[in-house]
Amino acid sequence: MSTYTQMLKGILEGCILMIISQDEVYGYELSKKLQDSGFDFVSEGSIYPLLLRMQKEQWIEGYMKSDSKSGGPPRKYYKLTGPGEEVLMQFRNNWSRMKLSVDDILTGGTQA
Amino acid sequence: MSAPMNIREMIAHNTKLQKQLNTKNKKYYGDMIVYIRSSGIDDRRGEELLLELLLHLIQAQKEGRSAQDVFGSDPSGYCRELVSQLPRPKMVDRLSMLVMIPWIAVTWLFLAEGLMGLLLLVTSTPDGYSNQMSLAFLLGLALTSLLLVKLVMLLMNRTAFTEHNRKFYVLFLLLYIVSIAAVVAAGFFLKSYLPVFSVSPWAAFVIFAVGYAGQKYWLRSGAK
Repeated sequence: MSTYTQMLKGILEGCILMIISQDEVYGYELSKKLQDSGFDFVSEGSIYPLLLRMQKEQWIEGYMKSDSKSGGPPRKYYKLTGPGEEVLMQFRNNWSRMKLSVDDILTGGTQA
Repeated sequence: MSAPMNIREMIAHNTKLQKQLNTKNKKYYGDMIVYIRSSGIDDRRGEELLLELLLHLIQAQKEGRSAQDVFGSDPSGYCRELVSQLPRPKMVDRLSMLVMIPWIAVTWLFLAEGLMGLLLLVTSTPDGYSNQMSLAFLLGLALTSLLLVKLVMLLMNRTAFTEHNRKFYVLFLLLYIVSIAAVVAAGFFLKSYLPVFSVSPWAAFVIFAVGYAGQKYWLRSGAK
């Protein structure tokens, strides 16, 4: 796997953790939120291997829940675990630092 | 919030929901089911994933996107990636499978044995006849039943995304026949070392009844 793909995956994982930390979501909602934020270069289905991996790492937990109002089929919702919150915090720190550095380079290196 | 869903309920929901798919999506998703269910992964987690993917696909279909748009043009590669992230079955589930398959095979053998014995009684076969059952044969049957289930699973897994070609089936059939022949030959060889006992039709029916109760119990508890 190329470094670029791996970097993208890491960023996508960070964003997924963030979305899950804000609200309980199921797979389809999650992909919708990513698309709405402009992540249209990742295919919809690519979130599922990532969700499985993050469950394996125990950053998130899935649980089945039926929609009691409509009596619809059970959906799998996700929530963050303790270790998941730590990973998210790390991601936020790393991202802000990287964003500053990249912005600095792109604007011609005005930072000291 | 409802009680935790059992595997049987998830499969029932899945089967019902699949009716909403159009022909092309049904084919794509059906292949995914065959592949994932035959991959030797934890059943519960596998069914959770399949239901999740199906609900996503149904929603996408309503919005005019196909399975190929959602999961990509390489279903086999995509499913391999999914399976690689899924947990293996628990040791206790694996052991239970290893016992259940031969158990069921032997159970039904005793029904056949009982019926055969009854037929011999009714037609009053000459005296001195008793139903002979050799331990070697039972062992052979147990082994063959396991082998057959494993082979069928393997066949399903390997051919999930191929157009089902005849050559492949013939190959597996041959392999199966050879394995049965090997088991029968082994049973024949062992026959002189292992005991042969006689079973009356009534005893055979009792054994079948006990075996059948066990099978019922197993299938129910396995689907939790």
